[in-house]
Amino acid sequence: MKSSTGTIDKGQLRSDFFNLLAFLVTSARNCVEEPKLYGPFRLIDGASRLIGILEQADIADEFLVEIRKKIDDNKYSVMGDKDEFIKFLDNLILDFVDKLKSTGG
Amino acid sequence: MKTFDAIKGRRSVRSYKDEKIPIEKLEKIMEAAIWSPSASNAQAWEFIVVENDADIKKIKTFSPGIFGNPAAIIIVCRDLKRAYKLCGELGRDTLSLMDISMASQNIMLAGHDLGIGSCAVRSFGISAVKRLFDLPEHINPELLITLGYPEKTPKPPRRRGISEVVHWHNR
Repeated sequence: MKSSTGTIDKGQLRSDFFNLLAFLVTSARNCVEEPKLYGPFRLIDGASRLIGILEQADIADEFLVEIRKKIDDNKYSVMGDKDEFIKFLDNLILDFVDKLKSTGG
Repeated sequence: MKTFDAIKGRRSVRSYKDEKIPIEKLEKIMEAAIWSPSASNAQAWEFIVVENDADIKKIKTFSPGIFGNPAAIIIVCRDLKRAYKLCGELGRDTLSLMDISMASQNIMLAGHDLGIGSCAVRSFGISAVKRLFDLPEHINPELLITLGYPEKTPKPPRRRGISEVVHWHNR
């Protein structure tokens, strides 16, 4: 998403955020009727999509890239194994906690 | 492929290869759709086959339930006016939904038979798709079926056992 001069392509960024926002808005509407677990599923999928945009813009660090991969590898557990999905989310939170502690934030 | 193998082998595919589906195969799949049963033979359905990448992208923008990059998307619609005309309120409110569900299963089984993966998606913006494709008021998009050559085929999910869900009466 960066141009040859190293600057961020604002047009592409605008388009990517438009798509993300359309995803969020549509998800919000559909969550009114969809199964309860689809709410957390959309949120975590939204997190993955957001990191994807940051990656394209060369803003995401290794930690976020790893988080995105973990999300994409595990998010579908929501379809078949609720306990596994919850455990995956719990572990993801702990990843953020460990990151925060390691950076002294 | 034997029917039973198709039924047991079909999976919901959410990762597709970057490869278009030949038109003959899509036509065959749609032929399977229109040969599904319908209440009072009303056939109150309409199918919009979307192959163009730009249009697929537009649908995806408003479809949180679509994953991967499908080669085609079928918008499965109910024709509420026709359903009501031929089958009354029951047809409009209930039977037409059952009918498009059976047509959708035909689509997915025929696709599987042709080596094409599919996934039925209800998580999409119904009003968004209706406006994107300028659908008339009485044509209701109910289901999206993504199609494409599978990049990854998921493992079969756990099924509830026959003894758990099938109840033989007086046997």
